[in-house]
Amino acid sequence: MKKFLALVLVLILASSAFAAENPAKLKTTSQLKTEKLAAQRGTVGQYIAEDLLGDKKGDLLTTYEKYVDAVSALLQGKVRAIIMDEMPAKRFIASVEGLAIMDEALSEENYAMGFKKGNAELVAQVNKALAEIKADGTLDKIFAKYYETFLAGDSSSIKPEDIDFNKGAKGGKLVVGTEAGFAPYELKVGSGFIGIDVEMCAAIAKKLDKELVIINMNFDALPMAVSTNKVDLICAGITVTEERKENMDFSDNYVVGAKQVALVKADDYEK
Amino acid sequence: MRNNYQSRKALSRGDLLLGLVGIYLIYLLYASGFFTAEAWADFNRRFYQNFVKDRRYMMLVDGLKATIFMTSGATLIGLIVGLILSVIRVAHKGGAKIPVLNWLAESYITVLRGTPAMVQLLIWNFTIFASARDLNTQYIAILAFGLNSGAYIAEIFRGGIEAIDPGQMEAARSLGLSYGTSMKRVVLPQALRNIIPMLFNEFIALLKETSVAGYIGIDDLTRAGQNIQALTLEHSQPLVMVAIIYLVIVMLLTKFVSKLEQWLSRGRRR
Amino acid sequence: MAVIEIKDLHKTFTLTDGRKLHVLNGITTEINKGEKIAVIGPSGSGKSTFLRCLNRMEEPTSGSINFNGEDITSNNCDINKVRRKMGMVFQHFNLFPHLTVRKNLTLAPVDLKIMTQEAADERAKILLERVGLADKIDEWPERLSGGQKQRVAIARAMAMNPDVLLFDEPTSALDPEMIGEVLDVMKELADSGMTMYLVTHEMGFAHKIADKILFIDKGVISEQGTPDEVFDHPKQPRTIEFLSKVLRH
Repeated sequence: MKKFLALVLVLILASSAFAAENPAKLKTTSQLKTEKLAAQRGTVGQYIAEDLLGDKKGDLLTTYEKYVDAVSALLQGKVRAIIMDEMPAKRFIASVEGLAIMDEALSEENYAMGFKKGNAELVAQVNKALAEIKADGTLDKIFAKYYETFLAGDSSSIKPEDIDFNKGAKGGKLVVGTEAGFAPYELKVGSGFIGIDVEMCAAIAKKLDKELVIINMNFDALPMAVSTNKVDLICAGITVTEERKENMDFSDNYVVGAKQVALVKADDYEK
Repeated sequence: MRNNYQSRKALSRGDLLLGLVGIYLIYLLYASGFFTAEAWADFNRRFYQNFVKDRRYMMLVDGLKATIFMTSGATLIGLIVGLILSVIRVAHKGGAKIPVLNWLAESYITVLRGTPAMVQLLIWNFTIFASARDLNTQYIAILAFGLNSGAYIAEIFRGGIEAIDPGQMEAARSLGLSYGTSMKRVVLPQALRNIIPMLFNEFIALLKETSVAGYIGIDDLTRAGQNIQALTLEHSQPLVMVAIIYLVIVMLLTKFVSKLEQWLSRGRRR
Repeated sequence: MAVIEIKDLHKTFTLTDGRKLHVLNGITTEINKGEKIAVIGPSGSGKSTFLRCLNRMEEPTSGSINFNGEDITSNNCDINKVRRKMGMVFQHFNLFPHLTVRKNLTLAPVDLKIMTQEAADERAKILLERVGLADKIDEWPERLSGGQKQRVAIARAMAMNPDVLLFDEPTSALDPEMIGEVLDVMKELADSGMTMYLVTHEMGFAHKIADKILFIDKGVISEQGTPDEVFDHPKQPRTIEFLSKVLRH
């Protein structure tokens, strides 16, 4: 009995010892080069963090399957910053207390849809449709709709059943792989999906007279899925990089100049 | 009768430890200010956000359905595969001249038990069924988990059959019954008493194993929790809820298995 | 007329390390209808293996066994048909614990479509009556004493109406006070004219019921004859040594 009490006492003491004080606050992104960083696995945020940390990436970089896990690690002080896209970061700011985005952007990226290497026919078709929805203002409307609702911290006004997936279309199916944990680009709601990418793909599918089918998988499984023809294309806020171009083909950009930023704790950041 | 006496025994060391861990967790909650009115209200608000608003609990219900569907389907395939494999292995040991079949069965069991189910799942989905686009991914998962579980179930069957005294087979054969009839009428009915509870344990293991199915795009129970996380940006509650659901199912099944074991062993002494 | 004729029977076991163990080294003998033969010998002499070869529980390595004129070691022989006519009683009874006494007795005849369940039930009753256990017909094997189990096992071996019964040390696993009841049943069977092969350590019983004694040592029959010849006037030194050891106790 005494042993157990001693054990409990040790556990209590140990837990209070873990709550150590933080060192000096962050000011500039150059400080991040020696800090513990987080990123979602397989994203450009991970590559940027790797570049920042250099040799120390093995010790200092933690990659997560899900952004929510990374944010949780940030709030618990396990990492000091998350390298991620600005739009999802802004959504976290709007919904979770105690977070801040460092002013200095780490880079600017372009988003495009990814295809199996050599699938020129589909790339051409999608590019044509993309140009059309850019020209007629459809794409702008989609962006505006999500900026208004999501960044205000309200997502419930957009319903997946309102998005037209063009069911029963004659031209067959357009199977799109995504990772639905990247609002406002893609998000699973109930049994359906919403998001900028989802609505854009729906508009493209309509132009191609195809039915849109969304398959939701882990981000790092997406390149595998498209290269093995599991899906026709992948659309998940994917940044165009030279390295990725070697392994897959990209559509024209649909987002230009999306910033990669560092998400940090508000009380750890001094402007 | 014996079990009644056992349950009335003084608390075991394990119960005591569990109780102390519980007390410690409550202390942690207390220390973190959980029992203040504000914290309680906050907990309720987040609970509403995570599970009630927009009927988000349905995501968990659908996820649970997918998990149970996959586990049941995989167990079914596992039973068939396991039965075939164990028949080959037991028959080989019983003197049937099938070295090639036996080698194949042994290799199957070695390979499928020697590699992680997750890796097998990825290979099935992205390599073998890469071009099978119209096939529901859940069926691929059922196949992958089923074939994997078949290797384990084969060993369960074989172990159960080999645990039966060889004298039973001899006695049946000495009466002029064929090998197959002796197996069917004498050995298997006895072996099943040991096998059935172990099959339920395999079902329980499989239930937890399917939690990696999200990787290939199946919204199972685990993935449903992650989807709610992405929706509400809340970390702890959805995952804890998912854990509780798994735990409740596993505990109910475990309870059922121990009742089943009692019932089966009582049948013998009727 | 010989029921079973055994010619030059050899049995070699291959051990896991590849070594060969020669257990039977050429046994030639026969049993006639209604004859009772007791097989005795030191442990490890091969006497149980000899018995188990007779219905091919063990596969003989070479030699021939003729049963009712048919060579049962040949590939064309349907051993399952042969075994129906050779009942076997085991040292450890080997009753089927998941079946009642009735089902233990009727499983084979009914499953092999030799009798209807009703006919088999009738026969089970008669057989259990004979071994003095008629009241146990619906009992579970685990509820029986060792002696009762072995009596049921004997009744089960009789269920197919065999031409010969093989007893493999039927009393070795029994408590001393239960040996008598089993031997009584076997005596009754012997008196009714049953052809019997009996491997046993019960020298007194063998002396009383056997027509012929086979003394097996190192895989060969080293001495055989009537009980009087073998027990009272043994010729071989090994037999004398064995008997002096066994009978002293």
